[in-house]
Amino acid sequence: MNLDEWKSQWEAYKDRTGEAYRLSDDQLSDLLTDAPGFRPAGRLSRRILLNLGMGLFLVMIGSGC
Amino acid sequence: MIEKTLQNEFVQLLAAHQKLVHTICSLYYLLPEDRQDLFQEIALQLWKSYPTFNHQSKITTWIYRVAINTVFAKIRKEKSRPKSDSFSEAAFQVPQPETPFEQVEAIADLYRAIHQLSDVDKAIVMLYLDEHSYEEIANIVKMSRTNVSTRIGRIKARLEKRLKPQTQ
Repeated sequence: MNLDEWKSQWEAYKDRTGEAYRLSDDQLSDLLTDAPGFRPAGRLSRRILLNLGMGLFLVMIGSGC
Repeated sequence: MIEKTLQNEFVQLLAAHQKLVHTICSLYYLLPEDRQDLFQEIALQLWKSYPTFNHQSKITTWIYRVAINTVFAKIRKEKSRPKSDSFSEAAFQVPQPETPFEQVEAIADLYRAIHQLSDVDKAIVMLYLDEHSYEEIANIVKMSRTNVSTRIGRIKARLEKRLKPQTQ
């Protein structure tokens, strides 16, 4: 049998695999934001601000303000 | 705000083409957790390169290019990747209820036969079965067109030999 004749089986395989492992839009979004070690530029700047804020807060508490 | 809009646009695109990414993951890894890891890595690489995607090539060609590069980079990093023959037959089952048994068997045979190929040959045969031209395949797997053509000839012969007993 020619390999080209297996193209319908290949399409069927892709459909079945895609259906079995399909992720919702929310799950796909989570993949982008929950990845360890992955920091898009916007998230990195927010993290720096958060760390600065936390640092100031701890200094204020420590100094009794 | 702009980043969020871009992310939403990308998620829609990924949702529409996730079948392709899941298929690639399933051909390189048998364990569900490995497939999930690879899927996430591919999604992240696609997201990273999305702002530079110029829509001049087909979207599937871009996805294939990024996904295959990600797979090969991951494989290079792994020192002890389990061989496919160390898995039981159950690992090769194609998930699908309510499908005629013969059809499931035929699909599983094709999957099993492709899974036995080398990592590069798997990529080539996937692209071939998805009707990419030899030029596109050569471009994605970073080989000459002649090399791709030769490899496709060998892969066809190998797969046709393996698949022959099931078609009689």
